[in-house]
Amino acid sequence: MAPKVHILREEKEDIFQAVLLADNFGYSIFGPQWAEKRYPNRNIFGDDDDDDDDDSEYGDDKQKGEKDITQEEPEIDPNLSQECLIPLGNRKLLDYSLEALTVSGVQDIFIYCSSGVKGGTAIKDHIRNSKWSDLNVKISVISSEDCDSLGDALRDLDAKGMIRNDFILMAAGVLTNIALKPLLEDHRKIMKLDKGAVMTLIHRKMPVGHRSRSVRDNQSILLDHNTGKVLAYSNKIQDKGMKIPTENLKREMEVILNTVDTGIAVCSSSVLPLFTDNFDFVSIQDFIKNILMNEEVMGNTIYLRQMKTGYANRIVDFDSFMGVSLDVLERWSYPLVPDMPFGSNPGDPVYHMGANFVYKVANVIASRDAIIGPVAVVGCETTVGKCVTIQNSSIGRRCFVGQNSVITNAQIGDGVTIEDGCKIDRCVILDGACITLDRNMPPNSLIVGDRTFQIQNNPTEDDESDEDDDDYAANGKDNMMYGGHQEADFTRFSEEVMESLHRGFTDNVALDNLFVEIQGSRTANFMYFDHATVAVIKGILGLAPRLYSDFLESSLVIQWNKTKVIVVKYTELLKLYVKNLAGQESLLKTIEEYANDCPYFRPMTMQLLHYYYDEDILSQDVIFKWYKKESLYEAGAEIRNKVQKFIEWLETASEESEDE
Amino acid sequence: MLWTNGLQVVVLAAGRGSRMTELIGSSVPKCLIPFAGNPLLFYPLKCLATNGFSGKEVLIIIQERDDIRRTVLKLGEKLGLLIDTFEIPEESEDFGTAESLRLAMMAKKITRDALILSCDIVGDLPIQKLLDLHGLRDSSFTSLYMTSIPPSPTQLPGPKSKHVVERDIVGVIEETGELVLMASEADLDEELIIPTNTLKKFPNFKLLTWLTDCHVYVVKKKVLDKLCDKLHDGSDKHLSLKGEFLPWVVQQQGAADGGSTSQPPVEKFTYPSSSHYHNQKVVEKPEPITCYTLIQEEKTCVRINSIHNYMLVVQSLDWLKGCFPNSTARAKETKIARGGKLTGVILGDHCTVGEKCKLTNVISLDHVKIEDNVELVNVIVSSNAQIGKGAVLSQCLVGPKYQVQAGGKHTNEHLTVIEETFFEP
Repeated sequence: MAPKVHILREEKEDIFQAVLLADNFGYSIFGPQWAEKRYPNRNIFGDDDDDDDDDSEYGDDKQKGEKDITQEEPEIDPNLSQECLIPLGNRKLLDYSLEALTVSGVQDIFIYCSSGVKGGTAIKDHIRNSKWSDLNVKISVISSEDCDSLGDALRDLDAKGMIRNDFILMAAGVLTNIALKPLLEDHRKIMKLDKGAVMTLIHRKMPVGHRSRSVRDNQSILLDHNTGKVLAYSNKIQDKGMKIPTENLKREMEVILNTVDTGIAVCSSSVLPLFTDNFDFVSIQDFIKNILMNEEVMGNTIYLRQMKTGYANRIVDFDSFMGVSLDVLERWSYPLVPDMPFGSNPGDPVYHMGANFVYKVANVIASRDAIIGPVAVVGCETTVGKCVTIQNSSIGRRCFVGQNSVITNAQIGDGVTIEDGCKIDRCVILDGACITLDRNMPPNSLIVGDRTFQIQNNPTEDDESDEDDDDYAANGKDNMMYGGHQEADFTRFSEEVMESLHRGFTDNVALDNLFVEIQGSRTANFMYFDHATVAVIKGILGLAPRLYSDFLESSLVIQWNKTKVIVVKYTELLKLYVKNLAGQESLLKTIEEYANDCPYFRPMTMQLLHYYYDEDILSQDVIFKWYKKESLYEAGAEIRNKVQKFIEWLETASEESEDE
Repeated sequence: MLWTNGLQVVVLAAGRGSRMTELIGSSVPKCLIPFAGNPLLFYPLKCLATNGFSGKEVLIIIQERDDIRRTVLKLGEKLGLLIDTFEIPEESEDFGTAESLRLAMMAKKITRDALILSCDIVGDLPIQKLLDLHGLRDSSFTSLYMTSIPPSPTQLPGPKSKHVVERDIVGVIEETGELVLMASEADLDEELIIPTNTLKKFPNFKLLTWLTDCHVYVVKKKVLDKLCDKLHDGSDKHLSLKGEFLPWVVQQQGAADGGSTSQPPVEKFTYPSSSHYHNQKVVEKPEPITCYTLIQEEKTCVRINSIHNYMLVVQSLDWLKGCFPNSTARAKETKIARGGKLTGVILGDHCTVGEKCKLTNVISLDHVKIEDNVELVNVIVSSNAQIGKGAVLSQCLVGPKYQVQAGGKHTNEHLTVIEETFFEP
């Protein structure tokens, strides 16, 4: 019993905790096909990639290769499924992340492995066989079979209740020499000033086009310069530029496009419950987007720290993998360099660095006329034959390189045999592989055993981005929210929203509570925020006929008066949902749809639009845009006819203001 | 040594003060509203004179009116500047700044790179520094930002309204002074849009909203030419210099780069097909536009473009004296009878105050007559106005030539003679 008591006390003493993710969920360094294999049930990249399977494989003997790719799916090499165990500078990727954490004084590391027990075992074995098990750091490996996103992983961790403190969240493939403890302390300072601060994202300044910057990394960020608070965060540069609502303009702001996400985030302890409460947070991007969008309501904020010194980068695709491996070999990431003895087995020989970044162990047998370097690592007991060239590469332990082979830009694991006359460029060769005589490997290949796979780059964000706010309103009835299996859910959800609004109106419930209630049923029904917007608008409009049994028989004036009372009451609630142009378009579309379905409402459309315009919920431009666009509804022309006066009034008003 | 080579000075003074008509009416042009013993135009001209432009030629764009021309010429004489005027016909509509400048250019009044000042800026302008930066960076367009003096604590007279500070927005790279973006909150509808080209060209910059654009610009002639070119290319004419033309110029920095690189190279010795012809015509690469800005956080200024700011500058006499030593004057020929109680009162020239008046926070322009037993709290009285015996006014603005009747009581009102203003009150 004694150790348990000890642990409890330690927790009170504020243990420095960190979560290290073992893989990148949706993304694989070696291209989308690997990520797909990892999560066969989830189509991560949309339909476009389905037919790419044919060329996802590459090899000299094509026939054999093609068979491989189809048959191979159920059994993936555990080393491969765990990308954190691929070699880089004769170490495993995981070692670099662990070193960064342990050097910073993290006492409790949770490695979250989503590829099941098999992958978890591989990681556990690696840790047991290296110095990590000897350090005074608690490293726990958590394996999960059915987790296919970062959100799932964090929800799982929350359920397990092992993380109690503010913690460091580190994505897979992070290399950094930045001390993490000060970052945590800074975050705590921020939390003292801003109780809602939930996360500090760590970014590193790196210009676009840098060799170790992934082309996928295209964040555009707006910060409050004085506090570092994130005001806007987008994963790509929008075609129409960055839009900042005037009311969000702060005294001093900073626009940042030249940083990369280092994959390190300092999280408050409230982050895990937030993920649990919001089932629809899948990625960290979802988290950021939702926190920013609901800042006024939930009061949570995100901060960003821009590192201008120190090394911090994250491997997300093959390009950044190649870039980072050169960074390590060329010592930009010092002390994370091959000749530092971190993560190695206690008895391992130490690398010595020679001129031109050549790292060798004493017992390497290299032919005199082999050209090793510049920039090369050669592991112990490796034999390098005559006239071999090795550049920008690392070769593992107990390897054999035959005569006249040329190896450039390659990361090669342990026990690999490369026969005479091979040509290898931009390849990753895993442990124990064998390259036969005179092979000319195509660049960007991954070699596992005797199989070769072509490495594809991950598709860019454009294909899957849901940021583009115009898409939503433009698609009309075909929009996803009305189609498919969700229709029934949406009807049920709408009914619940209507109930809430009904009760809220009759019992005069505070709007804040009502908002929370609607958020709750949204979560319970697996609805997106946009769904809630539509449901709330329809609820507000449809409440009057529901409240008054003689509503439809009464005169137009009475109908409008009754409707208006409800509309006015829920103005502030609606403002929580209609915040941007997309929201406005959605509002107009929903009003039009309602008017289309309920003829009684059509004469009131103009008054309603006018009211929302006066309340600054609808802007003039959006109204014009909607008015000019061809209607998708039968009664569209009639509705536009009904509001014509208002449009004319708006036009003259705008002309007048221009005249001034 | 001041870098003035081939530089021409242009002062924009044709504005009619459309945002302060209640105060000045139509008889006094904006550039000649008096305070602290001088008309508004005096202050920027004084800055020019003290910054090494004395004895140099200055072009002032004014409304076409004899009295204005005379006053302006006299001012120039006093300050040792050679004044030339370009006059905008009075009956024409209120031109935008860009439009007046365009007219002056078409009349061949502006022929070189120009230092352009607005007449409504009051402050100690570091013109020398600005010109140094412009010359050093070989900038196409350089602007000046300073800190505005803090807003007035007293409430604005007239109908109750919240004073909305219209912020200038400037995007800048502080290390180099490169100007990335300029906008003004008043010109935006609901959101500021930073174009993609700008983001790509400048991936990291600061966006500041607390500085005041001084309306002091140094612009190359080549850039000014675009003001006239724009007439021909079918796009909208730019009416305002600050609101439209210059922001457009600043945006061209990103666009010019994108345009030149996307243009396919033209092969030599091929017979020009019709599709190639257009490309071949573009032989010389246009000089890229580069914009810079000088930010002087520690220096303060104020732009007299609203009643609030006029009030502010009148109340900040000490600050004004600091900026313009030996230039301010006490009110001349103003008589105040005995028995009154006056606190926070600033009067113009040729004013009279009757007996037993109780005045608190009162600002008056020239030739104001306040009769006996008048009680005023937080009131601005415009020129030639008259306040009858025993009138009680609080939170009011009395317009030019307005006569408050004896014993009248007014609160939170604009008291103006309708004909004196352009717009309905």
